Amino acid sequence: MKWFIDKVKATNTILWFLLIYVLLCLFLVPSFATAYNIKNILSQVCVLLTVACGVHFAVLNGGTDFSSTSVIALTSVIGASIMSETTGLLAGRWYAVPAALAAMLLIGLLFGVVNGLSVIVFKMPSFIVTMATQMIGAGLALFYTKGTTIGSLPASFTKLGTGSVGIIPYALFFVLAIVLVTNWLLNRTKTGRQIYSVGTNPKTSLISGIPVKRTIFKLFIVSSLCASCAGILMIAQMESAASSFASNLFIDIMSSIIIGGTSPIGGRGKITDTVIGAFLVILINVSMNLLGVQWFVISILKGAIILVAASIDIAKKSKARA
Amino acid sequence: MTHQREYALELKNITKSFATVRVLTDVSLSLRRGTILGLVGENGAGKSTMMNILGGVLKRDAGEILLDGSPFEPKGPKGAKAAGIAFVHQELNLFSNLSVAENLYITGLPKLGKTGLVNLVRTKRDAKGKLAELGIDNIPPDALIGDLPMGQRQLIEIAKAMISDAEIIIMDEPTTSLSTKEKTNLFRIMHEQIEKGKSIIFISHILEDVFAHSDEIAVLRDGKLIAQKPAAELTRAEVVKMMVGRELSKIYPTVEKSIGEVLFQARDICREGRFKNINLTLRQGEIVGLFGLMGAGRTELLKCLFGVDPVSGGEVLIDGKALERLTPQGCIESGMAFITENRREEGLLITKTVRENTVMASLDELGKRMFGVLDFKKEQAMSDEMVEALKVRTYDANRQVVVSLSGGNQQKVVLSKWVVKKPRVFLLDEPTRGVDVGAKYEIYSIIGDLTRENSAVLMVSSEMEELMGMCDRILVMYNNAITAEFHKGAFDQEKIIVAAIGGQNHEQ
Amino acid sequence: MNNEMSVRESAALPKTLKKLVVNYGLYFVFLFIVVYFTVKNPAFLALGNIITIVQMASTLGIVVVGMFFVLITGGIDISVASNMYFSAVVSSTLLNNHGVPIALCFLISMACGTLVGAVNGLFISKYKIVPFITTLATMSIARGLGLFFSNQKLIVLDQSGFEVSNTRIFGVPLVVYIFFAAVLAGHIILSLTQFGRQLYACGNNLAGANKIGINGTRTVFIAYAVCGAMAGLAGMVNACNLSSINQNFATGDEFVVISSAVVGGASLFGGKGRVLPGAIIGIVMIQVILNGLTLSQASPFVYQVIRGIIIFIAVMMDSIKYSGEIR
Repeated sequence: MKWFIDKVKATNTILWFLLIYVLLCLFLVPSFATAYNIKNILSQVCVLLTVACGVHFAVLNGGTDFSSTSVIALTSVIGASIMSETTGLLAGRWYAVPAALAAMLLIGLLFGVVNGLSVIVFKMPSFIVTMATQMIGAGLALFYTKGTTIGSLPASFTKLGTGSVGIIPYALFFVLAIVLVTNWLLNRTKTGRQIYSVGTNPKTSLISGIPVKRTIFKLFIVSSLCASCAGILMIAQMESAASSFASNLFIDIMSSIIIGGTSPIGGRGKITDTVIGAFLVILINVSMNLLGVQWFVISILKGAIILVAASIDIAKKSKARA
Repeated sequence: MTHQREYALELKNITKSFATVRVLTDVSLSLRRGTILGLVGENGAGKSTMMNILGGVLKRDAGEILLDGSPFEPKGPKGAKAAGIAFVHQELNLFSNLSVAENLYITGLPKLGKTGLVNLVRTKRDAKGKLAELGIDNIPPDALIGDLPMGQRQLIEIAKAMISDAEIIIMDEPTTSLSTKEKTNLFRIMHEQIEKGKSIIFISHILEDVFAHSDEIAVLRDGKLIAQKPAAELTRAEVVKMMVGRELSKIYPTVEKSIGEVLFQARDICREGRFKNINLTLRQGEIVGLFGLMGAGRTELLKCLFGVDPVSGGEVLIDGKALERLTPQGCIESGMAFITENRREEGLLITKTVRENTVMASLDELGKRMFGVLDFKKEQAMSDEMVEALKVRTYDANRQVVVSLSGGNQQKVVLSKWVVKKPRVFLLDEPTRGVDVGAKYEIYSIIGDLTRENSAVLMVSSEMEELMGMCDRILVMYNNAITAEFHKGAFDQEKIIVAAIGGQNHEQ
Repeated sequence: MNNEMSVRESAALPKTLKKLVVNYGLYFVFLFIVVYFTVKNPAFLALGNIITIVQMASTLGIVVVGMFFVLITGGIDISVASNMYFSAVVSSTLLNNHGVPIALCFLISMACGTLVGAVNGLFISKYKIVPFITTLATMSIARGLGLFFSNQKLIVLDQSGFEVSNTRIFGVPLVVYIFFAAVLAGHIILSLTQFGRQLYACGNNLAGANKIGINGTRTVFIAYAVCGAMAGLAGMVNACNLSSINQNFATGDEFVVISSAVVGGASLFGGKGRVLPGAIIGIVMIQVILNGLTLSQASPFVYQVIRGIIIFIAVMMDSIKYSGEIR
């Protein structure tokens, strides 16, 4: 009996919220339990969770990565413009898709490097550096496409986004891989432990011999690379690319992370928490949609939930210190 | 309202403990109106604690405080201020982005009539006037604090206290950054305040000054009042004796060991604005103590030796070989360890578990596999080994977060973090601060064991008895330099304290 | 040795020449940019264009004044644009549908803005939640509320709004006077009131301020409320300028405001910045660059990129100057 209670206590409280919310939806939301709807939810989770896993790393250090949404947009349009069968730079070649994917990852890497260096070399606050790179990235995407949409992506590629096994989209497996890799990175590797250490107390970490600057640099690389992967999924799912992709996604990303229980001050928070948070956010989006609730209500709700979740985190922290 | 009581302030039978550590035992001080009471004692004697209790920052466990004869309950800094007590703390509390005048009057700037706007002209003029009154004539009132050197900043901090209508002024080591001229000025100001009927408690370790300017002197030692007498009835030698004259009754572990070759050398360590050519050696198996009073530069020296603070010159050698990079990582690679004086903020990840803290400096060793995957088995073994070896009292090292451990156990966790790496040179900064008696002895044993393995230990401590019991040699620092060295067998409490307060041995 | 040493170490650089570059380099670059744009299109320096620049600058300039208050505390407010939207929607709705006089609408707009600012202030100063998370949340909430009150429809302002934006006194648009009034008010509060001076103190050393009896929590709270108020005012002004409010009202303007404030001398690390002339210089510089881009027929898609680069450079300079400062 005690074992059971301990296990219950150990699980994330948000998981309970999620389960309760699912139950509520089953009863109160029309056409919630349909195959179509479940597949829809699982599809929508993909891009959000992929990028959220990356931004999670930035939040672990008490900061954030605003540029993640622009990385999605920019990699989307550049990747699509390479592989597109009609207008692509490498249209029709067999290596078009791999080259496009490589380019997308490279762009993510570039953003990560710029963000990372700005923070560790110039000591610029992460939220505003990534705000600046977000604007630059969004602008570049707009400039590159001149507002047009790029389409006609190779079917062999878009199958990743549109295909599915029953109600489970192929994309979800890709996301699962990302979740597993990032979770593994944080839980089982030296780098992960260093990240938690630096996020908790950089001074102690420095004295204990942890390479603080290098660790922080890695955070931004991971974050941007995840955003690139999210871009890959996005163009596969949408079968096209436009510079407006992901432009409103940031609030959902931060909601997933903070509602999931990761502390905005840093040092604490598992990937699994963010997974739960992402599902909850998508569920809220979808259920509200099905209920015919306007988007702005969801907007208000998410903002309120972030405030509440952050307050609870602070309350927990001060109790621990007392 | 005129005060007629003889005593402006009386602290009676003050007792205070932090958890199980008793820091003040039945201490009574009395401050006669219109006099200066000099308060002396080593670090940790209880002076700061007394003042913090008076200032409402800490709550006393027992005893009472009488302000002008009436009971006084300190309610925090504002309460103390309202009651007419002003503090000049050792750590300055100024705003570097505001001017001198603004810092002086920030809680009550002069206003323009009814508009509520600040009267800039009057602020500047009042400040200038006040500074002139205090004889501080070379600091312009509109200079930014951020542009002033330390000595002048300290003067402004003092001026702040003098400006208020405080009847009682407590000054904690007010002369540390002052030039000789500034010091003379300060004492003149103090006496002027006395003539105006104010009363001052003057905490200082410079006995010369204390004797020259105090009417009465009180000596604290190990949380007890040794004596409070008129300065005329005391000699410096007597005061020194009272500061350190304890029965060395505590037992320290004896270690079977031999002192070997030179292991660690610091050569001509320089740091701009602080250190000039510091030299230090440690031999295998040696425990060297570093004694000194607050501000002597001990912690700063250790930080330089470990590469936490940058040095502008000099080198560190292990086994005769100079370290390539004087950084924490470089030092650790060469087999050094550093236990800081502030474990909560620099030694522990306070919200993480015992196990995580124990292994946090050993991640390179645990992550040797491909991709840096951690060897969990090894990690568990490390954690278990340390918990057992150092007798860390925790209900579950894998689950208990260190914030809930006692001070002594927290310190053991910090020690574990380093001991597990088997370093050869340990830099310890106040390793038993805030640790209860039982854990203290255990920590002494741990330190002793280290030297049996031919490691060397450099131990900073403010507890002379501890150093005398543990060390093979004691170095004394004063004013950012090593000024004296004592060998075991020639340890002398009074000689050590005299070196620490910067004086020669005077017979009076 | 201690007496002669100054404790202030900036992350920079001992030589006076380098100091000159860091402190005044921005102005040289600005001069260069002005010359460049004038060469590209001489109409750039025409009186009419200058008035346009000033008019556009004035609207956001009002918010810049408020942002100074927040930056001085060492915080940030990214909800200002959404705040502008929300406040403008509420007061415009009252103007159009309920015949509330335009002057009163301005006050109501300010009140709405203050409300949002107060929420920010509460969570930041009292509950100690990190500023960018708090203002990210309120940004979302405010925009949502704006959409709610406007029923997601375009709001076209009543004639009186248009009249206000067209009012000229001595040939200068009314909005410029409002901006200058805000700058003046901001300057008086920050430099000439005890609250203002205590605000700088809190931004420099909050713990120390609390220790000597300053109510740090209340001071920071008021700073965010003021910023909100300015955003509210600017929202209504902008609505009058555009004569309408659509769903993209003020989108992205928070970045223009923040970069203007930082360019104008307010540091992200707190305790620094003078509204007069900082707010004016900052917003004018940024607006000149944006205006110049339009006139030189640069691709409109370059706008975003340039705005991002501007804020990046401004923050980088700020970090180089002040990130290593020991207080």
